[in-house]
Amino acid sequence: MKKWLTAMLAVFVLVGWFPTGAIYAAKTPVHTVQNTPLPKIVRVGIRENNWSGQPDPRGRIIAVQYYDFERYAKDVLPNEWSPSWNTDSLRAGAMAIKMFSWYHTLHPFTVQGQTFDVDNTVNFQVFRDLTDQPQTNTAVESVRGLAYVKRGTGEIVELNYRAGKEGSANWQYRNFQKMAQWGSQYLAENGYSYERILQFYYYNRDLARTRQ
Amino acid sequence: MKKDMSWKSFGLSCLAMAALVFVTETAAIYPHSFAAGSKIAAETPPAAAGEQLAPEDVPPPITEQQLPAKLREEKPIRPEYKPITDPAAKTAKLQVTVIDGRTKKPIPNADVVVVETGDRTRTDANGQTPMMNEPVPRDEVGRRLLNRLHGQLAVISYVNGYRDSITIGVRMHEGQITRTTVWQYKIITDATGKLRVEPVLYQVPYHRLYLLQLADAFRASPDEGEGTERPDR
Repeated sequence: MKKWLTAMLAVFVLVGWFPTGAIYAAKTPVHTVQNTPLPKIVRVGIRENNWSGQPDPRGRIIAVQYYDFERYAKDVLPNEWSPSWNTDSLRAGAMAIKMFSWYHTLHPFTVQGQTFDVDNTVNFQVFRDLTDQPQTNTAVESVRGLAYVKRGTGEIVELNYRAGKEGSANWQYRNFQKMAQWGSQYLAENGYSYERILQFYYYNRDLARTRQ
Repeated sequence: MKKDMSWKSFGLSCLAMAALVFVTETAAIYPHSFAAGSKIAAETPPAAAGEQLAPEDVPPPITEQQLPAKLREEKPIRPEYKPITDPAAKTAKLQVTVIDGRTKKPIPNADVVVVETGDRTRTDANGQTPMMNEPVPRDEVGRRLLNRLHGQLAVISYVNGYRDSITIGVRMHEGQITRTTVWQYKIITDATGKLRVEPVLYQVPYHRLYLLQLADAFRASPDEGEGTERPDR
C-alpha cells in the first residue's frame, strides 16, 4: 500500500510539474507588436457605485460595456492626468494608458461570471464616459500608430504608472518600472520630450509602429 | 405539576399583555386602519402632492389679506445671488453638450445656465452650446493648502419633457478649453402619475491626483492609514 502511494505521488509530481510547465510555456503565445493588431474595442467592467455616487473599486461588476479602443483612452487620460499639464507629459500619459489597456485586452479577467479587460476604477484606470477634453484628445491622437514595447522582441507589456510627488522627477519610480505622473510633468516642464520621459521611467523598452 | 402550570399561565399572560400593547400602539400610529372599513383604509396610501384630496381634507380657502404680514412681502427669488463679475479674474472656455442619458443622442435647444455667472445659452442641433468665457473659481481653503489642479463650476440644463439636470464640479483650467457633458433623463410617470419629479444631480469628482495630495498633506506619519503614495504597490 505504501509503495503504491509513493508511486502515485511520484507520478503526480512528475506529470503535474515538469511536463505541464513545459507544454504551457510552449503553447502560450507571446503577443508582440508584429503579430498582434491593435484592438478595436475594450470591454470595460462597470463597478457599482458607493453611497456618494462614485464607482466603488471593491463594488460588484454591474455591467460590461464595449468602447472603441481610442475613445476609451480619450475618456481615461483627463481622469488620470491633468488636462492643464504640459503636452509632453500628456503624450507620455497617453502612451502609458494605451499600452496598459492593450496588454489587458490580451489578458482579460472573469469575475462573477463576467469577462472584461479593465474596470472603470483605480483598480485599472479611471474611466468616465464622455469626459474627454480637447488637450488630452490631441495627446491620444499624437501617439496613434505607435506602441511602446519590449526592446528587441517587440512584446506588448503593461506600462504602469502611479501619481508620484509634485515638483520632482521621482526617480525612485524607475526602479519599479512605473512612470510617476507628477514626475512626467516635472520632466516635461524641464524640456523633456515624451519619448525621453518614457525612456526615463521604463527600462528596456522602445517605440515601435503598430500593425495597420 | 402545579409549579409547571403556574409557569405556563404566567407565559400566556405575558403573551396576552404583549399582544394588547401591540394592538394599542398600532391603533395609535395607524388610526385609519382601525376605523370603519379598515381593510380599504389600510391599503390606501397617504395623499400625494397634486392628488385629488377628499373633501374633508381640503383646507378652507384664504385670501392674501388673511396671511400674516411677513408672508405677504414679496421677496426676490434669489436675494443673495451675486454673480462673479470680476474682470481681472482669469477665465477659461467652456462648452456644454447636452445629451439624452438613455439614448446618448444630443438634445438641441436645451437652456443651459452657468450657476456662478448666470450666463445663459442654448444648445444647437448637435446639442452643443457655443464656447463661453467663464471664470475658474477655486475654493479658497484648497488654494492656500495645495496647488489645486482645477477650479470648478456648476451648470444647470433645462429641457421640456426632461428632469432638470444639475452638474456640479465641472473642472476648469485657466486659459484652456473645458468640454462637459450634461446627461438629461426624460420625465417618466407610471399609471398612477404619482412619481415625484425632481432634478437629477451629476457631481464631477475631484481629480484623483488632488485627492492623493490632500490625504498625504495631513498624514501624521508616512505609515499612517494607507501610507504615503509610493511606487512599490
